[in-house]
Amino acid sequence: MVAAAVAAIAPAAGSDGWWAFRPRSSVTPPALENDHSQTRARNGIDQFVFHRLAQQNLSPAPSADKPTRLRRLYYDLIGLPPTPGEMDAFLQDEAPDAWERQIDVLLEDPRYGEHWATLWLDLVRYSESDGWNQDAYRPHIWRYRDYVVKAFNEDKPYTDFVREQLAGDEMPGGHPDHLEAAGFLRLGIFEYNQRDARGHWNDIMNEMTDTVGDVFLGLSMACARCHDHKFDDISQRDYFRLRAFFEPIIWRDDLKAATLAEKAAYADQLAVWNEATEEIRGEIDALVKPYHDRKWKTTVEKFPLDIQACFLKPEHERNSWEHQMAYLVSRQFLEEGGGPLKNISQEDQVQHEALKKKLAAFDHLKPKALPPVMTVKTFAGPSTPTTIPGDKGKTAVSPGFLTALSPHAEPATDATQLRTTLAAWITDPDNPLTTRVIVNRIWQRHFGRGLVSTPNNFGHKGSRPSHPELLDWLTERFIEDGWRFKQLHRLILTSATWQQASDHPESSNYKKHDPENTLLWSAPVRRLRAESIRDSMLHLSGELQSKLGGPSVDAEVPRRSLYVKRFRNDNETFLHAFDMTSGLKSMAQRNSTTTPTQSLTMFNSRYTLERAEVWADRLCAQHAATPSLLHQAMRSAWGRPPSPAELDDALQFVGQDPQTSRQRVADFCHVLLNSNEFLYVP
Amino acid sequence: MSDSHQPAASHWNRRDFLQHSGVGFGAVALQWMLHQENARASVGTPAAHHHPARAKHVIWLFMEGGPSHLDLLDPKPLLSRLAGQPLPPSFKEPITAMGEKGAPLLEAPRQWKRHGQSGLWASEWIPEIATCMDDIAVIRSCWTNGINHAGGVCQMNTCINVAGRPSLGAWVDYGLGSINENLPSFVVMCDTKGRPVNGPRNWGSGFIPASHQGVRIHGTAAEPIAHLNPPAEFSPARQRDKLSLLQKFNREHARRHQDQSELEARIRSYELAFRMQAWAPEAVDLRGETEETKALYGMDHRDTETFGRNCLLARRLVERGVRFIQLYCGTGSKWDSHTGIEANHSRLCRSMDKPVAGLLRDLKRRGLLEETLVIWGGEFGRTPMSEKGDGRDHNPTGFSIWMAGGSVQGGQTIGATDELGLYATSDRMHVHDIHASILWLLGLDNMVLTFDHKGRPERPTINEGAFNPKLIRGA
Repeated sequence: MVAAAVAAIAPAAGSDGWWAFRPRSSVTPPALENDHSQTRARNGIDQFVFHRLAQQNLSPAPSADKPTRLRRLYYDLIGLPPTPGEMDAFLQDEAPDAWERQIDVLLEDPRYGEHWATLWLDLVRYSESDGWNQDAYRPHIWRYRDYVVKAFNEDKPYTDFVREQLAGDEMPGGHPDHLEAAGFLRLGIFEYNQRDARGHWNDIMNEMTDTVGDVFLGLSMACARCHDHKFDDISQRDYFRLRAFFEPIIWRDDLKAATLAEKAAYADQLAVWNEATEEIRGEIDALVKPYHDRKWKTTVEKFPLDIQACFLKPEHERNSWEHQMAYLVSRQFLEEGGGPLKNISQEDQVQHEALKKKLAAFDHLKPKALPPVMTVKTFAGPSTPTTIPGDKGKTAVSPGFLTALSPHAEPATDATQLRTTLAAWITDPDNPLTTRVIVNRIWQRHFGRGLVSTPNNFGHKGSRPSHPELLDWLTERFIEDGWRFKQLHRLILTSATWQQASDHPESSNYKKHDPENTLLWSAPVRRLRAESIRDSMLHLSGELQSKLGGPSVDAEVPRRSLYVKRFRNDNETFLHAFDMTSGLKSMAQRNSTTTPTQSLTMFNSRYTLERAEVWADRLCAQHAATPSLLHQAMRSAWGRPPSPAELDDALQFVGQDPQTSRQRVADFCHVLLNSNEFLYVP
Repeated sequence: MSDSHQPAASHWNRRDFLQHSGVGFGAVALQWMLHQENARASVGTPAAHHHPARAKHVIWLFMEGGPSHLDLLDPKPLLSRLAGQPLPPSFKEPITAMGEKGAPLLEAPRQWKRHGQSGLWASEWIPEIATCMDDIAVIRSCWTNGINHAGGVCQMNTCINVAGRPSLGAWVDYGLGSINENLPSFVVMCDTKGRPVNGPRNWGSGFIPASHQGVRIHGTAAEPIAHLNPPAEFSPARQRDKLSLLQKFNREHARRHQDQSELEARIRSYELAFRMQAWAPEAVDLRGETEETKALYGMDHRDTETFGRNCLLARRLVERGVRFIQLYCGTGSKWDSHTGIEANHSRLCRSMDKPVAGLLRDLKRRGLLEETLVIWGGEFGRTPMSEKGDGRDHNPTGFSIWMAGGSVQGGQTIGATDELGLYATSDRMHVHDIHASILWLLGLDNMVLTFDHKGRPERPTINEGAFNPKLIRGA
């Protein structure tokens, strides 16, 4: 069934032949005529790039020096700077494969996954709170984040990565990773306290569809929600065909991230506890029942009559939409202020506490709770058909692929494999769009901009690729290499193109021809991402904890910023000042702003000042003499030794004896954290 | 209209202020300014009007939680006659936030009077604002989609009830750029320690760069803007030393990486930060204001002091070139009166009536009202049906806001609701139209102002909405 969908990818006859919808061209890297660039070129990437440059009479920048390359590589792969020891080791390594080995070391470093996960988390608008007003925290969604980190670290093929997120719940075996991955379908905003349940769910489904279009297809599907896309070959029908894949989804909060064996062991032990506590639990149930009944009644009555009817219907009689409505009602019951026992009488309260105490006496028999996971399933009963708003006849729209790519495919509609079918279509090697989209994202993260500079829009309103043949060649390589990111990183990082210096002797000239450096005649200078700024400060101060994964923490805890709790409604944090995403929309490329707010935060906030002080203490403990202390500080922050003049300035600022002028050392460290050379990677 | 900063009625000039101010960084900032004064460059995006602007500034008085139009600006005699009865079947039953079914209509026991030459209606709950009705255009036919606070407040700020789009203030800053170098261009103030529904997201910049988002100012705090000052132990001399070393390093670094304009921009952002350090405390320092002025805003009375202070600060910010100012009144949904609307509204009206009227009068006598659009309103209105006996539920389908100044023709009502004030009926203005009108008055066309996001031209009013010309012509 999947195979049938796969075979069906073929651009529509008579389509306008838009580049991104055309099959990949089979290309070989062009030969270089110029001796110099021939010597410089390291792989196919360079052949494409240098060839283009030569056509414009431009030449690539010289290679960046070793310290610069090393620092760039560290920030590119793990988001943290090299330590002076790591710098020494690399600088002393004269072996011809020193660079390749260094790349491999960092690709195998678990911090690689922590850093690269943010690319994906931005795309899928990951956050840990509900949004809307209450912005309630989602205590279990971090499992999705850990899944993404692990996927990068294990170099999971993109085919599996897509399938597990779109359809992990449809995969056999109920593997915990798969349920966690399907948490992708729970990442949108939500509010329990929303009486307009019908409109709320409709918004949720549309937003899910938009995000899938953004993330996997690199197309702004949202335009086609209300009308056929004005610029791209996407009809309104296509939009709802995509949505139809998700229509029978139900949200599940009761499933566990546990293996079958763990679940079985849990069930066995629970049976023991159940038996021992049957009587007490019966008493508790009888006590709370009237309160629960009352709460259910008042909860349900708040909803419009048609929604009440959905809730009151037995589950086996519902269709998927009715069940979704019933789910929304039940969330209101669970979460509305105080819960059902808020108004319990004092007498019953005393009784309740006593019973709970009695129950607690059996805690030694109770199995340890299995970890809950936020995930989805497909509704087992009849699916509600998708319809196009305003269609008076309410014609059912079946799940289907983009007409422009697969004009004749009618995907199988087996409800238990719906999303698996979609994932297979997205990761079909012949899908010209989705394959280029993901390769372009990886390139973008390495160079600051994609070969297509609008990574979430490969349509007519997006940019055309600057190097179309290179994009196709890389995509082909990516697929041949098993859809694995690490091999693609290696290819890019070993290219001479990536290793160029950011300064070109002819830059002022070249800028007149190519102001955006689209042709890649030098490396871009980039500001550190928000997470890297905070993480690097903690790294320098020696406070950064290296614990991998687990529940998120408050910002005060010195763990990587990836693990700091994220709330959608709070955009006034340190990380947000440096353009961290808010988790409200799929973000393919962060803004990189320069604002007075950032300067005030860096120069005046307690947080930055304290990092400088801890760092200073650490330096003072390690170094008796000021010059060596300052040398070390500057080298750690900037990735290069200071010039004699800079060291002089530093000495003059701090004074000769670091122990008597500890405060000056802290001030000096603070200046380094504020310096451009720390905040930018050339 | 002049683009330069108009000095406040103050015996303090700015140099005096900087030299005498106790705030840590005054001296450093002064040094910067003395050096920079002749070398100013424009801040942010250059001003780009689509048509001549009628207004230069906006002060948005946001009554958070949803004030009752039925008790303030939109009298409904039929409501008193039918009080206690269910909603007549001729009215379509709306989905209400709290979902109380079949609740009887609740009387609005107000005394209503016509005011000024125009004879506009206002209830006894806003006696001071009532004296300004000739400057005010009441829009009685507003409607919105969000039925709860999160959606309503989000929509009134961003044009849609779902989170993720830029707020109107951010759009305005993006479209017009800043007209001052020392303060943020979009400022938000709250009147309680609580936070408004949705939090800072309300003044966020969505998908446009964060440099356009609103900055919260705490008018009474020692530090009006977050991180404006270093901790107390940092003497100005110490800060100065650090700053000069930093700028030395940064200049050397920039010299080695020429043609990297971003590095230059960051050096400048430190300079801007220091100007802000100097100017924000001056902007919120009310020592230069006369007692008469403070009393005009009700600062001499406990009930009106807090919001009065924020209103006066808003005027000072307008004078200093701040473009878009939003004042939350009843921050944290305080206007939300599901029960006991009489006590709730009489208290909140008292807290804002005099300050708001004072603001209008003060702006007018200083010649600032003409260039300053003042908007008053909440995220929705309230239902004619009762809730829990003596409260009213949310009404997104028909409610009132008003506008004054910024060339708006005062003394008129625009649009109407039905006989019970439940649904807007004539000349209906959706939030899209309200935003389009505000943008239009500022010289921006809501269909021309675009931001390219993911290859899609995004517009502030999501491709809908239109300026209502009655605002300037008169009905």
